[in-house]
Amino acid sequence: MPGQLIEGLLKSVDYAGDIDSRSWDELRAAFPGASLEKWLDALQRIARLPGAPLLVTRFAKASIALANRIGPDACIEAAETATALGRISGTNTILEFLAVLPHIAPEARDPAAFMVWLRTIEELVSLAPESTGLVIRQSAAILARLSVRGFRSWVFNGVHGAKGDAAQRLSYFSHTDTHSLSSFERNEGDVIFADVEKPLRAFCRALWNIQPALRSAPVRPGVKAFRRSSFDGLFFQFPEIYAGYRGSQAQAHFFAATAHLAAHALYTRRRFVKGSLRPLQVALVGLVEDARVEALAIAEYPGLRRLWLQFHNVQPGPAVSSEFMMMRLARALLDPAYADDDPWVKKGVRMFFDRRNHWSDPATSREIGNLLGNDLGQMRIQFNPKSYVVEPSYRDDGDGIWEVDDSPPAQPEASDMMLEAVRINRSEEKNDRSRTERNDDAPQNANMASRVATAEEDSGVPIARHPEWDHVSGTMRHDWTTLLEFTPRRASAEQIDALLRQHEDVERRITKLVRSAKISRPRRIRGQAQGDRLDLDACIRASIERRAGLTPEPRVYETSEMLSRDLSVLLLLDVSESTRDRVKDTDMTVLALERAAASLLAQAMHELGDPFAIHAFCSNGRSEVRYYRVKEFHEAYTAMTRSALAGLRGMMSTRLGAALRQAGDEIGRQATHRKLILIITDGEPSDVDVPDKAYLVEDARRAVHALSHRGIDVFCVGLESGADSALPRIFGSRNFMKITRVETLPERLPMLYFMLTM
Amino acid sequence: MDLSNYLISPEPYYRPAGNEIAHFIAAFSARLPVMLKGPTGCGKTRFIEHMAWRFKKPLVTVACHEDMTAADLVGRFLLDANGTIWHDGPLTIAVRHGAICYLDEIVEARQDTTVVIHPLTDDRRILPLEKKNELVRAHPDFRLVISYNPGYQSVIKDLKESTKQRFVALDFTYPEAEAEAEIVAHEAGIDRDDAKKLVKIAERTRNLKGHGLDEGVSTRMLIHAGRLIASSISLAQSCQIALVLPLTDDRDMRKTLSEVIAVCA
Repeated sequence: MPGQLIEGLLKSVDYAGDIDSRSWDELRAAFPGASLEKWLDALQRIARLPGAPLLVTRFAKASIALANRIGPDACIEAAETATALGRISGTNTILEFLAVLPHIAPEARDPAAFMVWLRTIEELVSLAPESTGLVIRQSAAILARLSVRGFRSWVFNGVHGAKGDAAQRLSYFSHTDTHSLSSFERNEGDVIFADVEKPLRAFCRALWNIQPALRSAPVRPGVKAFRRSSFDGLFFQFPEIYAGYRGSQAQAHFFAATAHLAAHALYTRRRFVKGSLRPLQVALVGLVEDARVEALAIAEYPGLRRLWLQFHNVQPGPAVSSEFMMMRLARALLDPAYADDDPWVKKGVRMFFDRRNHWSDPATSREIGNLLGNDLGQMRIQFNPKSYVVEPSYRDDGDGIWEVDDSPPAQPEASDMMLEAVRINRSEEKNDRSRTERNDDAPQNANMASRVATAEEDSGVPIARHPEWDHVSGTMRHDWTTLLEFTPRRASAEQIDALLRQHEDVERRITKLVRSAKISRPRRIRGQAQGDRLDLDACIRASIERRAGLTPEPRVYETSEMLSRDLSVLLLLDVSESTRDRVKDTDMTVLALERAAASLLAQAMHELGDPFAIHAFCSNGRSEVRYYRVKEFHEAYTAMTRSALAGLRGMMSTRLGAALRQAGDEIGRQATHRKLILIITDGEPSDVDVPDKAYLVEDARRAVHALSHRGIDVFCVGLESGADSALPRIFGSRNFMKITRVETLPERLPMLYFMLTM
Repeated sequence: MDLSNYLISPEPYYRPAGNEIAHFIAAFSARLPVMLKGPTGCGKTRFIEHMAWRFKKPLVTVACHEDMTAADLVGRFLLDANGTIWHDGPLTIAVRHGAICYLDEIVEARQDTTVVIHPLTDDRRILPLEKKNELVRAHPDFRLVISYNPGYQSVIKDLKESTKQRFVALDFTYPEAEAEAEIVAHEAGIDRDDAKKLVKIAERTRNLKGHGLDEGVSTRMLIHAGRLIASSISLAQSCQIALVLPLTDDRDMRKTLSEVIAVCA
């Protein structure tokens, strides 16, 4: 009887009785077959959250609407998101989340879109917990106007545009202006910057071997969007989208813009000083400079002319405006086939090509631009510096070539914004550098989220007591250390992502290794009594034996078997004070590298499907061994994991033995055949209440022995430890690897993992 | 045994990029085992064929693979009507009769397989055939050459330290632009200008090694593209089918490569 089965299941779920019987009937109808069981599991998870009784009924109600609209699986996923929210935000946010679910369902239209919405909320809560409630409340209204992809870019535009400032994020999300929303929507054939970012980066590297920082300009409420690219040295900024271009032409447009900026980066080496130039002259010097750098770039890559020319489509005509004349000049300077009879244009072309041999000197542009500007001014055609926009549209806004501290720029609003964006970026980089020097605890990014988290986090929950080995007396001190569990705070994972971007290459190599490991190559098993083929060697052996008068070995077949993996891994990170040290010759801390290594490794393990957990520890005397669960075995590896990793801070000491025992207990519960604890530490064990250096070393050694008795492998990666390190003594020299160049850790760790587990 | 089948003729085209010929001759005369290192398609195999032709020595080539066993190299007993009969493997043939044994892509073979070459590579120059209970002393003309692509190197596939240290190594890279254009023009039968364009494209793709590509375009690929051009297919299309499509499946990377080709041509 399925009814009885459900009754039985019900008893195991708290608060299930709060759901009335009519709802149960509807639920049973909405979740046919096995899906009901899954749903009950999900319900159980919800019931464990604080504020449960109310949550349970709300969830049940939302589930009925959701399952009928989108399908039973969507409810299970929604429960996941709700628990994720519970980990970071309060009950109110979850209630709001459950309340909007029935309204989201009709807007999301299909399961895939709904999942994207859920993922967006999950990522948002780790990046901007303070704004999550606000976004959830507005979701239905926004989804009514935008597709879910548009919704997503609206959210991330706000998060990234605020550069970690919580107040700015709140203001962004609370002042949603309906006009700006349409800029997030994409039509068929629209190409946005993110679509081409990777090819553009590779394009620069291939052709000029430069690695510019490519960004898209954030859209802000109430401010006009960027229409042209801009640059400051190797910092290239693009509009999110170039209006009016679609499909392959839009892609070509991005490539043309990038090639133009690269040409500036290569050939406009010094900024020009405006001095007494009038706005029209400024514009013309910019135009001639554009033509000059393009001519130089074309000398190396002739195909660039074709790329750029497709966007010059002006034709000769009566001289009505300066802008029109300038577009014609721009084309005439680039296109040898273009004929223009206007004397001014012809003069410009003549001057430009007469100085062919001086093109390498930027002063040429200034000279020509100055003269042409004069002439154009005397023609009394109007020029409005306020409304002037550089044409054609692939060219940059023209500010990047000018010294900034000069006279007020021609187009105050736009240029100010560009400079501001650049400046923010610069100061951010500066922060990055200073942050790496032992002031990690200063509120990063002025991030309100992490400040809130700090306040909540400061008391741990005792989870276990562990013995400790006293090597002097040769006795075990029972219940000597106390493990306190702390919830890792969340922080923006941008730094990790940036590090990962540097290691893109490694990531790709790992993916490749994963693929070859996962397809589980067949292994040949010889000498079998049954099998697919004859084992030639065994056959020959058997014949020889038979002829020699011996009883031949009957196992002469061979077969193939897929290698299967049955392994769980616990990655244990040492986050003691010393991990905040800077790594020699880099601006990275040891901890930052540990984080990047952990996330690279996590990605590999995630793709392989090996169950894995990431835990971290530090200690403050025997009564306070702090233990952080960044990721548990049963949890999925998501953006949340990375933000928890990013939230780890280096502090206190290293009581290795206690942490190892705890890790052993954690992994001991796994049902896999092999169990591996992979520990990354930057030094020897030490703690404030232990003066005897050997004491903790011997204790840790003892802990490792105990673990290996339980069939748990322990492998240690030691960072930059001296020659007389105690780590080989603790782990045994075969289970220890020293990495002297710590900056290679992100690369070495996943490789090591493959070596250990294949 | 007659190894005349293994002799190389006519002369394989080889254009030296540096002193590698002189270095190889010196190592060859001193009977030193040689390791040729370099990315795929840069001319390692062509080089050894050329050298075998120069010395008029037979060349026994073994393409190593993952499932190769020591028996595949040294030989094994086979059955015939009257009983078992020993059959020399390619390595043993080269050792007995004095040929150059060339183990191509040695890292592909498992590490425990490659140790059989150890006694051949020091001053003993012997090959013990344990199953046959025979000790083969190497013919004075026997030489061992292996090739090795450091790009494949990973934790899973690498030479044992004890294997590595037995060899002298010649490092191969893609030739200088001028030289490479000459090679492509000669091998594909196209004019210098087209060859130069191809080389320019290849050089740009090599900037992407490790940044989206595992290897840049190799000289071999350029020759393939060149041959297509010689059969009157346009340069852009030849590059597309001989360079871009084989090299990567990543859409973004294909897009980049196509743009690079368009810009260079």
